Amino acid sequence: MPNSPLPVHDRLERLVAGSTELALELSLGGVLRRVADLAAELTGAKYAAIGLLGPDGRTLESFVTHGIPESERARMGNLPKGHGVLGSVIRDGKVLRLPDLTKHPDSFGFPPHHPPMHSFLGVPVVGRRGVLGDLYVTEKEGGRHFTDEDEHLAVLLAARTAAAVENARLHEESARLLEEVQQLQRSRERFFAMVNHELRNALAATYGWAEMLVRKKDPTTIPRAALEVLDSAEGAVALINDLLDLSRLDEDRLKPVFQQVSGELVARQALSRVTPAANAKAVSLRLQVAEQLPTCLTDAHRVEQILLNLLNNAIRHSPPNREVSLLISRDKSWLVFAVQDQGPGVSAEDLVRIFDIYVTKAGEERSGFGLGLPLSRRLAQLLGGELFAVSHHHGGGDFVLQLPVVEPES
Amino acid sequence: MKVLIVEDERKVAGFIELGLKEEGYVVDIASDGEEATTLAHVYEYDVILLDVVLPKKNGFQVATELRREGRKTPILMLTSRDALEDVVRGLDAGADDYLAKPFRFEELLARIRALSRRGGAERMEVLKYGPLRLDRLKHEAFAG
Repeated sequence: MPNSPLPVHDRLERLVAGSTELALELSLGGVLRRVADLAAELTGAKYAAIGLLGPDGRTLESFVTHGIPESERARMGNLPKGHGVLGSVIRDGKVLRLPDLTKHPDSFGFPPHHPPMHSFLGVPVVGRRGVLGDLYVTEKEGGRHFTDEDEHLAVLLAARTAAAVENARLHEESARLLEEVQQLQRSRERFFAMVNHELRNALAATYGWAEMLVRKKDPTTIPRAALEVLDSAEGAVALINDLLDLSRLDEDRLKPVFQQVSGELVARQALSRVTPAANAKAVSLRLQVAEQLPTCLTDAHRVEQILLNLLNNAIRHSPPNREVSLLISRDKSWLVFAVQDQGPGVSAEDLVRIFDIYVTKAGEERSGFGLGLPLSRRLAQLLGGELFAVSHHHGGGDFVLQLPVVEPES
Repeated sequence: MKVLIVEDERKVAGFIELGLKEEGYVVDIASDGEEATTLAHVYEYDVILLDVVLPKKNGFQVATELRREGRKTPILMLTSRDALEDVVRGLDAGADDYLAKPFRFEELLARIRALSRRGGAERMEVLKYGPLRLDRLKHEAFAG
């Protein structure tokens, strides 16, 4: 640091050169560091600091210093809270120049480990929409006071700082938006890959069994083949419907219609709709309803959709001549539907994966689960409830749908 | 002719099984990668139909394992995803041919016949020339 202050002309040139560097700095942290260094240099101060206000416009979100070694900085602890003299510059939005900071009425002393400071010059940093923060320099070299020129330079620097801060913030915001867009793009690609995979599988079965019918090698297999064609075609249609629902959910276009619904009624409707499929496999269906169930404020159509999915899965996984049960009960503020089957059940590692939509990279391939469960879970959440699977020690699948019970005003 | 179908979608495995049996083949079905490797260890198959997306172990892992163990059984991979990526990976993993779903059963039959004519995987994982040895799976080379 020079012993006598540089002539103003040189300092102005330094300000201009420094401002250019500032304008090119794209990171907010970089801007603050350069400003602190430049402020100290231009005014011949030992210490400099720049504080930026956070979104609430009152508390500091960053405070970068010059002249305080990192180790001491660490010992000083938290950001200043904007009390005392520092705070008054921000609040008043005016320049404050003091020969001795400690003698100001607003001064309330320094925190422990804080270096002593006397001469003080504080300048607000004012952006397009008001005060962004403030710039301070303290301890002018040689024990002198800060001059008119120092103040003038500091004010000029503060103006450049405001522009640089706003610029850096804009840059960070646009980088963030770009990242979001890229994420959406990746999401879209994964969605299409998933659609491709699921449709190909659904159609492969339809195609293949239809071909068996055309080949007509063994007439006794015709009834089975015909059934399989129909069933897989239905599966493909169900897939497309599920995809549409998922896409609507994503775009927030799926609006539930809330009414007072009787859980038992919806359950009976769902059961009657899956009865043909159950009969085809000689699977028996059982309904168990607890006493005094409250009605539920929810969307009956979507609840039935979820129950149909769970029941169809259960029937599909159930061995023949066994039972699939649907139990309805109340658990505190939840109406609980449990669908149980006696099939192989869900392995512990699959308990979470089955609700996942995407086929991902090798080794993590999700397979053969369809879209029903992921969709059902999202529907459950849309209705304010939750859907999960439970693993049983004695085997068998157990899926639980819980919906919030909102007692109607009476 | 003995064929192993590795496919977790029951309906798909179903029609392939029926069609092959009608052609006089003996058919086994594995519905996940682990079952596939177990069966392939126990029995000698003439052709293995291998789906890519499987529970427990995927098709690529199954193929790689079988080749690493020196099994030369012809493998035909069934893909239902972005065909090109799966095809390249599949062939690199040791598959001999591939078919994208949905496929015509007649085509599957023809390819199975072609593979069994070729009589086993010609692909060699470890190449030897004099004192030089190149392991293509481990990407290691030895001299002497």
